[in-house]
Amino acid sequence: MAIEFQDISDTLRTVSISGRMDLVGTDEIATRFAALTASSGRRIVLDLVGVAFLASIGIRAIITNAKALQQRGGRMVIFVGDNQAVYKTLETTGLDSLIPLFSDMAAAQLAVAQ
Amino acid sequence: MAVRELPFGPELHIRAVVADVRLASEWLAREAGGVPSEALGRLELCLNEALANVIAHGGDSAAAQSVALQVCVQQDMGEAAVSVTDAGPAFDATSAALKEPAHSLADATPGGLGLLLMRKLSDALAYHRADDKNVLTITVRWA
Repeated sequence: MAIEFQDISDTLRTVSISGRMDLVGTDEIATRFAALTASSGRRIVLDLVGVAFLASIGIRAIITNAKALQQRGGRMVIFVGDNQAVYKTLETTGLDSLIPLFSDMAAAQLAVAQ
Repeated sequence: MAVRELPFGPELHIRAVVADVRLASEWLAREAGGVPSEALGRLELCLNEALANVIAHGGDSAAAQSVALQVCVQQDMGEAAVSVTDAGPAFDATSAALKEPAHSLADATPGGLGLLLMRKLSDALAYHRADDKNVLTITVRWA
């Protein structure tokens, strides 16, 4: 389980998660995931391309952090690339109607910056 | 409704604890190796969600005994099933009420997504209570 970030600008950050977002994996990254997405007004592209397995506990963590970010005046979008399994899981839970999903990184960055 | 008897094969016993869920995933990958990855992925996700429910809601009675897993792969029928037997309080994942979907991030509350995933991503979900235990059978199919 790994979580990394890259600041594209003062306000735009990509946060990339890779590995298994199951009960164990989500717990491993929970503290850092919350910390990396907590800044006021920040725009976050959450990159899930490297997620090999996504369970509901992982989706809960994404919702919790996206909601906290929104309450601080920020925004989150999700970049899934061509990760079909993760896309299907997010779509099945209806998360795509709460947080915009993108298969293209440039489009994701453009949308979240607006 | 009659319960169709599946020719279940390999069995695994795990504890109802977070650390053992990955043992279940690894076991499934081993025993259901010939299942197409799309179907196996759905089966693994449903199994994870079923075990997460047992861990979260099974209480002392589920923790006191092992959780038994059995797998049945029928390649010729394009079907694979896993059964999860736990000693927790009666809980029917096939009929438990689903949460109303949230319409915005502000309205979203955590929880309830595991049941939704199991219902939508399995091709059949069956439940019965036997010997004071919950038996949940998750089936996926492929063309």
